[in-house]
Amino acid sequence: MAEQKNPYISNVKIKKFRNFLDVDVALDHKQVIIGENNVGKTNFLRAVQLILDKDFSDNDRQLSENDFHESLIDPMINGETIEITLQIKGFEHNSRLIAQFTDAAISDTPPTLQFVYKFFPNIGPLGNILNYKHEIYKGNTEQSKFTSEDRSFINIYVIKALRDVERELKANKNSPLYKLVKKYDISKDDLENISESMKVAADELLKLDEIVHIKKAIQERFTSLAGLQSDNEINLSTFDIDTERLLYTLQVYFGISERPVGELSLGLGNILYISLMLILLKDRTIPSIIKAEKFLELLALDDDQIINNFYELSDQSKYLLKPDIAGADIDSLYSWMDENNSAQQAFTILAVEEPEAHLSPILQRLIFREVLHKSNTSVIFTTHSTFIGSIAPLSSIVHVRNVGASSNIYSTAKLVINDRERKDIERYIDAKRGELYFGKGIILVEGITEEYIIPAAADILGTSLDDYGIVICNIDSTNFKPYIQLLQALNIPWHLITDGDYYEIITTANADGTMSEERVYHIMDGLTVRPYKYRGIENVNDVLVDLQIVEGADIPESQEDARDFFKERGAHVGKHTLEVDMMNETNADGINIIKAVYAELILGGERMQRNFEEVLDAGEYWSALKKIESNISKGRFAQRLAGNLIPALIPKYVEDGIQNFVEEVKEDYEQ
Amino acid sequence: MNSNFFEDLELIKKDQSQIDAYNSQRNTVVIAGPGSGKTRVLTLKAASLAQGSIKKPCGLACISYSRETVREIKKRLKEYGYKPTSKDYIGTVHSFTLLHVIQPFAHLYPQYGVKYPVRIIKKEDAVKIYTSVLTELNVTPEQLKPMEINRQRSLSVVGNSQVTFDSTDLIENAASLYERRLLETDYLDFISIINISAQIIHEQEFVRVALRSRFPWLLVDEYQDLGKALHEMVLELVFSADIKLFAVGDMNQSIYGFNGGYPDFLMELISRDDIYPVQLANNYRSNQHIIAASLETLEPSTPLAYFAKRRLEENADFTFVTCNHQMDQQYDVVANKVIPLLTQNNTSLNEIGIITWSNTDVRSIAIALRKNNIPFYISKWDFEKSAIVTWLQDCANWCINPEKQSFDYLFKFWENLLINHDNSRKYMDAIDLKVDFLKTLKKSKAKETVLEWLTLMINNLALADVLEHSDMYPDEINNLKVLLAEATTYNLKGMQLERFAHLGIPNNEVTITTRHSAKGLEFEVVILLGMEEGHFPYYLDVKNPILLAEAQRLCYVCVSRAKKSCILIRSENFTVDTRWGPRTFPYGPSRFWVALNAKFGNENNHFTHKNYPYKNIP
Repeated sequence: MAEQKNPYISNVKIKKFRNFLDVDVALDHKQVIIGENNVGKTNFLRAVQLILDKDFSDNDRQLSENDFHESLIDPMINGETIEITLQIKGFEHNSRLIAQFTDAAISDTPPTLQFVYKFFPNIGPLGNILNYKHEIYKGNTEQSKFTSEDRSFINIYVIKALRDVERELKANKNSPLYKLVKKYDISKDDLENISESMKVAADELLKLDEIVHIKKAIQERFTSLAGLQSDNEINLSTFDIDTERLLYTLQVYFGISERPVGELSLGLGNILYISLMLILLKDRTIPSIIKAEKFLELLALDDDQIINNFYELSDQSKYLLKPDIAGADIDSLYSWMDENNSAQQAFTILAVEEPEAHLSPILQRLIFREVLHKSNTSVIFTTHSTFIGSIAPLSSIVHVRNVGASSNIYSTAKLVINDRERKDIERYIDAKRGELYFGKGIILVEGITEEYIIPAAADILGTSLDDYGIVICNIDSTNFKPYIQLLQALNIPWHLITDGDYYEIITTANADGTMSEERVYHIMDGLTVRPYKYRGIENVNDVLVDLQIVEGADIPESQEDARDFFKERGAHVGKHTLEVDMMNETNADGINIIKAVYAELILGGERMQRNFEEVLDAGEYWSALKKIESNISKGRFAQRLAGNLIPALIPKYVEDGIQNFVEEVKEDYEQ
Repeated sequence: MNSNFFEDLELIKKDQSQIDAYNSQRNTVVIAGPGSGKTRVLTLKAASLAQGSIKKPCGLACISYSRETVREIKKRLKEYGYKPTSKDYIGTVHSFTLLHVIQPFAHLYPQYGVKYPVRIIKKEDAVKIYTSVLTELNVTPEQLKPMEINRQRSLSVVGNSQVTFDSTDLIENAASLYERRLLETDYLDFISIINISAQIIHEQEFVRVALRSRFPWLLVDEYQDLGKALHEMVLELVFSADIKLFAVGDMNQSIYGFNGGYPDFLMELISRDDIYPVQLANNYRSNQHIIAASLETLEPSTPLAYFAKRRLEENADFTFVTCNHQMDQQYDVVANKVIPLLTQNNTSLNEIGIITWSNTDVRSIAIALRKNNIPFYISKWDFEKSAIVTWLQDCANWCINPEKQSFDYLFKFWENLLINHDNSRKYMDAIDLKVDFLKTLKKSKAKETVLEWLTLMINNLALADVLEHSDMYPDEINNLKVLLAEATTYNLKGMQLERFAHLGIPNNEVTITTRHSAKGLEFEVVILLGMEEGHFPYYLDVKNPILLAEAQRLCYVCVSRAKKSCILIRSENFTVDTRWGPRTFPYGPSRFWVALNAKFGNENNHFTHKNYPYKNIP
């Protein structure tokens, strides 16, 4: 069923709070906050909680010296101010939210609310700091304060990383199941009937001969001990359940054998808890069940015959919302209910810290795909699970990173990528399990050969990529642009290593006197005097100019200078293709290794090997590559070659690429 | 405290008396002439105390006579970045006594006869008591005016003050009879609220201690207007309960004698040894001639020399215009010649104030100005700027610019109004009430004129339903009717909402006001109408030295509104209805005219309504 989406935090600004010196980040309805440990994911949530969490006390909101960014020296002596600004969008379908937050509106296109938390010095009449105070305001001006009343309309609920799910599920009044049941406002009469029949059934127990006997035995023993004490008759009773306690007794059991929650794995318990929370936080402006008398009341208000169409009478004379109501109908039903059915609706944004705890990768993916794509509640996860990152919508990633002494936050909420590319990337990230998000740096490459050879080359060069958290990202094409956009939005450092794809241009005169050009690929360079170019350089040129990373006018004319120019900017372009460049640039040792690897992998006889060695010795490297492709496959060859790599087999552009990037990432660390 | 506060603090540091007053930690009374920056000093002091030495659960107590001044103080505190806490009281003396004396304490002392809930008497019921007093004493309304009874009641508080006023047995009897009759009803009026409060504070130590614990400082603005009861309260609170006092006032601007406000109380206060008096002698508004002229009107009792601090290079200009017959010619000459000439000489309309005697005069001059298409603004209205009207203005303000006015504040007032009046809507969920209220406000935004807007607001909110039988605002329904009448037929007719929202601020318009409402205003040019002896001062007041002195102060207030020039207008003949039919009498110039003429008059600044030097340049 289509549903109205709940309000969500669309922007967060944090100044001078804990890891964050000055950050400003746009968010989406579903948000996945990724980043390493200790980088400030939790602090980011704390900043939001300072404004929105109902469970924070005044004391929690009153910060201290330790809460200032560590770069600030004596912040509370120097009068520094911590400021946190939240913007909320997606509230305008609910008239109560509009009324409650009239003073908080800062824009109507699109409708946006703003809340500002300040922890600031209270300056006395002599200009001295008297003390520090915190205040929360609505809107741009400081006229209107954000109070606990406001928090009962919009708030955040944080599910902490480590918790005892079993205990919370059984926590009677605080159990989410109980709260959920209470939301339905079950009639007391129904409960009393049930309670009564339970008692009647249980009383049968007392009539059992065994029980009667026990009672008598106790009575006798007690009377003899208590002596002459009057009023000492002993009675046995089962239970006298009051209706409220009846609701507590509801418990969740799993599976056919009805395993209690305590026996579940922690992971499943977590899922259960989060599922219950999501149901609990649903917008109830459109009630799922309406009692008969209430329904009649509403019907009386309903001149346009709206609600009759959407509810049906149940066996217990209650009105149930029909399933599968179309989107447009839901909208009109929503605004009608919003207008006529006065039920206060709190909108809670759910934040879950490290939901992956205790969950197998497969369950992580299943559950969070469901939550992220289908729930109408705005949800924020913090995670370092690549699995959750991998199934998150591309626009919902927030990346918290250390930059120098502070953490910075980057998000993809405002990424402009066309749909086709977006799907490509999402598929890629899904297939690669989100490793892209977790690299300290990313080397973008175009094929399987690079994916095998480059890490091996880095090992040989003594700069293992794993040591620096650098990830090779093979995008299986040369369309680097959307990937670079994504990495830039998240401020993840990147380099790209790509083939040169050398070609020459043959110009011929046509019969009608015009000239036509033809490109010749897959040839070695320097054998003719024909004009030549590198398609790899052209591609890099287009992408970097397009993304305004370089100015078209700054790019040197000559191909060789252009290659150096792009190298400086993180795009390393070879001459031909990686294998060919390896063969072309290596020495006799290298050639021997290639021959040996070929020999290991072919199934054919010596003749095949001889043919390969002949073209190789003749310098016909393109032919050699063709033989590898047709007789072995590039991937298998690269995989084996990687294990036998020697320095002489590493082309210069690859070596430069690795070393430059490692240097850059290292600097990043040291900052 | 923000930069505005420190900027203003720097400003007053340049004036030794101002900074002395600000720094004083003793009981301080600031005697401040017109244009002396007294409100700034008071607000700075208030902000500095509230932020500095006054700590919760204590609060700041800042009291003034008029709502307008209260609004100004609140506005300035906000500009200084001070946000009043729930413990602070900033408001009028009436609500102070109601909120902090009568409501919390009067029930402990049944002897004062206060009945709960506290109900304010309606005007019509007050008239009934007055009539019964007349009947019992067997006198006519001419022999005993309600104002005389009320003044006597105000002055009748017994306490420590040595100031006394003569009165007649008749008035004294009437006052105490009235008091008894009022006590027999279930109602109080504003005089009895203050009087009973003063009495409780005078007699009950417990109340004094409680107030001292709650409010370590008492800040009072417009001390000269506050009357005897407040004076007694101050004497008790300051000298027996040890509350620190910071009061600001000006004996010479005491013009509300009819309410029992006399300069003598302020005089008594500063004459005490344990008071630190500060005189702000610098005038930052007018040039020295205007100051001299205004002081001239107080002769022979000029208490102080004031010094112009701005406009030192200027000479004042005075103009004396004599008309032949009736007020009508005065209205005509103002509308047809005086204002056009000022406009020709590039005086902006904002900078012109017409000060006249009565509300009728105000209306007549308004008609004359409208005929000549001169935009004007009236700072004296028939309706009262009650709490409800002020709130409606704030609502209008929100409609015009929501950034300037908090919606939550408007709603809180509305919600409290419903709760206090036991209206059935108080049982609604607060949020549903809020949704409805917002709907009404949003709908009202589309209305352009004051009338349409008010009608929609009053009807949609069912204000009459709320205020019917109101104990708190017994006369408010009538007041709203007066307001609506103003919007239907009179000076708010056809006006944009902006005009209602900013009743206090002219918008390129000439201001018309009465003498008593002129206080607190300032203009480049002031036009004084009705400057005939017998009209100003009123012939009956001349014989009574107290009333005459007040008339002098009234003239002082009027003249000192001017920064640069003063135009006095009078008529030589008036026709009045007598029991022998209409008769015409000659009227001489007012003594104030004569005095100013003697000092500033010359052959170049006298005109008649005919030869006034305005030439219409097409």
